[in-house]
Amino acid sequence: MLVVTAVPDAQLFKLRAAASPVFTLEPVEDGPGMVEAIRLRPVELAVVDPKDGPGIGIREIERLRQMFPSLSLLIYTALTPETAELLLALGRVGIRRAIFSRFDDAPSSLRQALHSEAEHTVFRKVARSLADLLGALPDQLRIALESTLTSPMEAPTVSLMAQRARLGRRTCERLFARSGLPSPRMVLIVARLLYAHRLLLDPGLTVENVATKLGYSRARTMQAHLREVFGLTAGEMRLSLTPDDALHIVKARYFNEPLGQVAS
Amino acid sequence: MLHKDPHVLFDSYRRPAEVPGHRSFLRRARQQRERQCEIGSQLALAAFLVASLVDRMLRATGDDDDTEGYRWQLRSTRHFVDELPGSHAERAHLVALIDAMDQAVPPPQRAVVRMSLVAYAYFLNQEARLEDALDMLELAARTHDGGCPAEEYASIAMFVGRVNRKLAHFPAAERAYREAQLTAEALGDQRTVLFSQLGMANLHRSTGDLARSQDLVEDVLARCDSPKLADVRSAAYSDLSAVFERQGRRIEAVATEYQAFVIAVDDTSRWRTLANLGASLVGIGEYAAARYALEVVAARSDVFDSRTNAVIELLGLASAVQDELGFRRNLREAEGRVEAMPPSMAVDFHYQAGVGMARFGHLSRAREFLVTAMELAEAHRLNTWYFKVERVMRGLAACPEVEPGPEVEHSPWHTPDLREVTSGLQEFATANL
Repeated sequence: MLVVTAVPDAQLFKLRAAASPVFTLEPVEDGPGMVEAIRLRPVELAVVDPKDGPGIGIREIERLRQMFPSLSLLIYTALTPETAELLLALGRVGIRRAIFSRFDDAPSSLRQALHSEAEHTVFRKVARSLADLLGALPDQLRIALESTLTSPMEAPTVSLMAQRARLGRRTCERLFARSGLPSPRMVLIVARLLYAHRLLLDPGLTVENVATKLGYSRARTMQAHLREVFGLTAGEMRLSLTPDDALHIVKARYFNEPLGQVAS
Repeated sequence: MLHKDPHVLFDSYRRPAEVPGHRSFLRRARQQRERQCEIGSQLALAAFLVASLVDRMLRATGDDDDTEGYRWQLRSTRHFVDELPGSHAERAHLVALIDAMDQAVPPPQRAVVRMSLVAYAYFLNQEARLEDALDMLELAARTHDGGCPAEEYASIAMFVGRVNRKLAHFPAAERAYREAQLTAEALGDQRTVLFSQLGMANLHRSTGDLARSQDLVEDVLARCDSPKLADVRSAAYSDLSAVFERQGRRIEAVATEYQAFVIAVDDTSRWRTLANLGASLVGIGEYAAARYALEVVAARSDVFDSRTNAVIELLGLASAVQDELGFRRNLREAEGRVEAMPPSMAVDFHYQAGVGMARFGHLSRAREFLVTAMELAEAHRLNTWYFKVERVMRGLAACPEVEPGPEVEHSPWHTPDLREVTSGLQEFATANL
């Protein structure tokens, strides 16, 4: 999972030790750098040390929350009388957790905090919503599916998923069929589109940004898939479809579940 | 044994958790920093860290990673607290809490941590750090797994009711007092039943329903004849005196408060009743007797409420006798404590300061103090106070050139009761100053 960070070097050093190998860190210097990373890279989580003055302060954090409400944010800062003021403002920004350097940043605590925050990322929400549908898959395959979809470096393909599950592509397809599921390619497509739809709800991301983040070579490919699966364009989905509606459609069309009431 | 869930006593139980938690300590750190009080700011941060450590202890999973993280946090928190100057009472409470959480055999004994938390909450309450006290009480409540014994529940509920009442969180206070009363009735604990009824009477008085308040207090007085309930009786007399005071029955207020003082069973209630008595005596122009009472409290009480109330009353007294030097001295002292004052005390302070400024002819300063008093009274729904300040404001606006004089210039009431009060206080002051 890719994590964008804006923290001083000493904190970054500790984060690196705690994050490896599950999380990949991408340090940035300031607010614009962070916005660019969020828009163009498959970033799921941000770790920020709020500063009074240059850097990323409470105002920038507020702006990030407005532009990218789906992004998980973790505060990692020093506890001083000066930061008390900034910390008091965190509640209204909707931050779930703050870590204080020197006090609760033991390697195990940092690791725990990253994992716990990762549970709130968009992809985890999508994965949870599909969990009951994919329940019949062997664990190794489910884990491989998730890691394939959130891989920061490679486009998600059935071959990559099979490789991560240490299975052959054919075996992988057979296991999906035996579990009564659509083909692995189709499952990857719909999971990726559900993920894309959640990201499209962020006002700070354009259709092109979402396509880039999810590893589509062209935004038009993603648009075509959206139209095929949901019968709507990305712009229409943004305005008219909630995550629950999108899930209902996917379940009904691809997992043989009755179509519930979907908002028009 | 009957067990009850103490979490329901706290409003935070009904809200999503705030990030970061323990915000009142952070607010204190900020305020102390603004006042350039480095030690006060560091103490507040230390308290925040200790409270966060208790949080960590309460959600411990016991696995290796979690235990390692907990020990790390404990060591660094201890290091931070150790670096604070050793003379502060608050530091001693924080050290005791860390010690309780640093027992050799994990997990720490929650009962020991709980006792330290409650002791710290009492300390914070006495220092009028009411939100901090409430926060620590909530942490103490969270150390109970699956409910706490009913006796302890009733005692926590009383404490929560009292702190919320002082904070003018009236619905939360009422809920807590009612819980205390119901639990104590089920246990046959007459003292707590009566104290919780006095708590409810105080709530009615604060919101201006004086008749209901009086009925409740008189009912308590009728039910606490036993010498074993002398503490309840003293508190009830004191509360009745406060009702009389608000009703304008000032002589009865003085006589009743004096009864409370005479039978007070411990220093805390002795200084509190004496401070109240001093205030009532100022109100009827018995300045000499009032000064005996208030100076003893200001010098002897180690409880923030009583000590600060006495200073505020001495402020009013100094302005009433046209002692501008004394007024300025007490104003300076009270201003240094204003951030820590609970709402009703803060209104009283601004009111006394405003009236005093007007008496010395500083009308614009007077207006500033009175406007702040009204804003505070309105914000905290302290209705009786609001109307009282509003009346003085109207007087100030109608004839700004006229200084509002003391409400009573000279005592018109030299009754035998008052002579007894004065001589009693003089004797007490001589022995205690």
